[in-house]
Amino acid sequence: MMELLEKLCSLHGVSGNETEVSAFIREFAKPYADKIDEDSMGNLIIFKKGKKKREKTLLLAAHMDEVGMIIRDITEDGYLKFDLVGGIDRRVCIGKRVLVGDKKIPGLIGLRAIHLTSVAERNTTPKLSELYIDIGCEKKSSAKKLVSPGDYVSFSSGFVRLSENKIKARALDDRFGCAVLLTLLSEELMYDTYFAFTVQEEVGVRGARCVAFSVKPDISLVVESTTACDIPDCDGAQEVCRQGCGTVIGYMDGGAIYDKALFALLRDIAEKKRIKWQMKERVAGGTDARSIQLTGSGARVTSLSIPTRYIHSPSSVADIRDMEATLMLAREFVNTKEESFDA
Amino acid sequence: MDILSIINKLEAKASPSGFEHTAAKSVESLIARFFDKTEVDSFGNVYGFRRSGKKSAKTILLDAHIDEIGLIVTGTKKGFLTFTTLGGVDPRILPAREVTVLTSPPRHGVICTVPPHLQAAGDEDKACSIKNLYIDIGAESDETPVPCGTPVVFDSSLTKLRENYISARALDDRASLAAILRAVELLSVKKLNLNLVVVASTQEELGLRGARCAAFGIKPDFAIVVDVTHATTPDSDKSLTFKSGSGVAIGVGPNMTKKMSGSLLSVAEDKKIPHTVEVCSGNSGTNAWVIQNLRDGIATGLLSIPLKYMHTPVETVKKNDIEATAKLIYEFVLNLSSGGGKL
Repeated sequence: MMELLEKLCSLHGVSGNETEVSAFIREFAKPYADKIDEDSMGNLIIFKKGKKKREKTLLLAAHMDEVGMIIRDITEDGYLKFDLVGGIDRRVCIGKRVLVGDKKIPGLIGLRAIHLTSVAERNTTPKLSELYIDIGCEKKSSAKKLVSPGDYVSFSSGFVRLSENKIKARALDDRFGCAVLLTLLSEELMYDTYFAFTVQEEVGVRGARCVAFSVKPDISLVVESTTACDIPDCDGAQEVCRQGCGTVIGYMDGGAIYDKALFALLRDIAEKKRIKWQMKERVAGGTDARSIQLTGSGARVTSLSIPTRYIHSPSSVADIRDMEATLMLAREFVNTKEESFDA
Repeated sequence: MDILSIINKLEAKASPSGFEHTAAKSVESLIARFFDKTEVDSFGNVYGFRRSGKKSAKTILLDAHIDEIGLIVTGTKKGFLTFTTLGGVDPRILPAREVTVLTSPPRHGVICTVPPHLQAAGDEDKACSIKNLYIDIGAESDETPVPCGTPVVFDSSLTKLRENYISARALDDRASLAAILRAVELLSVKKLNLNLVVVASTQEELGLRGARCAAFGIKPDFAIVVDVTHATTPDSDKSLTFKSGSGVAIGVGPNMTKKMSGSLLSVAEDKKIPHTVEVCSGNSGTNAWVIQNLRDGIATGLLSIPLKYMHTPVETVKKNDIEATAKLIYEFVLNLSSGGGKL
C-alpha cells in the first residue's frame, strides 16, 4: 500500500479540481471493478462484486481532494493574489513552495525580509490579502500568459520516510483513505461493495452528498486522516489521538454522531483480531460521514482514521503502523458476516 | 562554469553559521579549479589564491560568506527536538517548515504546528513563538536523542522560476560567491599585476566573524565584499529596496572607501554594466564593516545583489543581477591591475 500511497500523494487535486486524482484512481480500479461511474461533480462510484450479494448496501468512502489555494487576481507587477481552499492556517503558507495551475508553474509564497520588519510585525501573521505568490513574472501581461484567476494552487512537498515508522507527505488527508479503498478493491471480497472516491470534502463535505443520493447506502464506512496533536506542549486529551496507538475508530465528528452498533462491531473485531485501535479524545472537524448519514432517508455511518500530525499543512506526518492497522480493520469489516451489521 | 551550476553545487552543502567545517572541504574542491592554491583555516574560512608572480604586486581580496542561517538543537521533549536560531530567522517562516537535522547521517524533520481544527478564533493572527515550536523527526520518545548543539538547515532545493529568477535557501550569500567565482573564471585568461585572493568566509550571520580573521591574515590592499541587498517585493517599501533586474548595487557611504566606490561606479558606467547606488549611512551590515578598519585600514568596496525574501528558505534572485555583479568584479580587477594597483 505504501507505493500506492506515495503515488497518490504525488498527484494534485485541490477541492474543485480533482481530475488528476480521479483519472489515476479510475485507471487503477479498471481491472478490479465491475462498474465505474463518475457523476457531474466528479465523484467516482465504483461497484465490485463479491462472492455473495449483500442484503444491505455497504459503501466505503474516502475523499480525493486536498486543501490548497486558488488564484484570485494578478497584480500589475506579475504577482498572484490567492484565496485558501479548505481550512488552512495561513501561518503554514508563509515561505512555502507551490505549483500553480494545471501546467504546475513553480512559485513561492513570499515574505518580506526580517530586516525590513518591526518587532510588532514579526509577532503578527500577515493578512491573507497581504500574501502573494511569486512565479518570477514582472508584469501582469507576462503572468497572464501562464496563469489565470481560478487556477488552483497546491503545496509542493514530497513523500519522505522520516524514520522506521513515520511518513511525511502532502495530502495524506485523504489520499491515505483512497489508498485503503483501492487496496481493498484489488482484493477478493466476500460481499458486493461500493467504493466512493468523493470530491470537495474539504469545502463542506459536498461531493459525498451526491454519492449517498446515488448509492443509497444502508451502511457506510468512511476512511480518513484525522487530526493528531501528540506533540510537546499537548497532554492528555489535548493530543486528541496518538500515533503508534493504532487506528482511530470514530464515534462522532463535528457534524454527525456515528452508529453505536457499528462502533461496537469495529471495536469487537479489533479486539478479537488483536488490531491496535484507539478513540479520539476531542471532537473536532468533520468528515463525509455527515453527508452520507443525512442524505435521502439516512444511513448508518462509522469511520476509521489514521492519526495525522500537521494536517492541512504541506507536510503531514503519519505512522505506518496505524496505516496497517486501519487497512486490516477495514478489511475485516468489509468481509465480516452481514448479520454482524444488524443493530 | 555557468552561474546556475556553481550555485547548484554550493546548495548541495549545508553550512550553518558556526558549523561550516563539514562543507569547507567540498567548497575547497569546488573552487580549486579557479586558483593556483586553496586553503582552509581553523575558522573554516576557505581561500583561493592566484599569485601574480610579481614581488611588489598589491593584493585584492574578494569576500562572500559561505555560512547560512539555520537552527540549532537545544534538547528533546517526547522525542521532538527543541531548538533556537542561528542568525536572524523570522519565526513566521517556521510552522510546517521542513528541515534537515545535521546528524550523521542527516535526518529529515518537520516543524510542528497545531492544526486549524484545534485552534481558537484569533490564534492564526498571532505568530508562533519559537518556544512553542518543535522539530518532528519521527522519533519515538524513548529513542537515543539527537545531541544538543546539532545544527539544522532549512530544506529548499533550487527552483527555476520564470524570467531568469532562481529561488533557493542561502542565496544569501551563495549568489555572491557564485558571482565572484564567475569573475575569477573570466579573469583566468587575463594576465594580472595583482595578487587575487578569494575567501568564502564563515560566521557572517553571527556577527561578521570569519571575515575579520581572514582579512587580518591576508593583509590585502583592497577588498571587495559581495553580499545581498533587499529587492522590491509587493510588501516592501519601493524607496528602500532595489528592483530585481536593476543590476549590481554599489555601496556608497562611510563604510565604503570613497576611492573604491568611486572607481566601481566609474567602471560600471564606462562598461555599461547595469547598476544602482546603495547608500549606507553607517554600518552596511556586511563583512565590509569589519574589514575596512582592520590593521592599518583596508580600502574596501561593497557590491550587493538584489534578493527577495532574505533569510527565508525561498530567497529569490534574478540571474541577470548575479551576472552584472560578476562582470563588474571582472572589469574592476582588470582596471585596477592595469593601473598597477593604483586607484
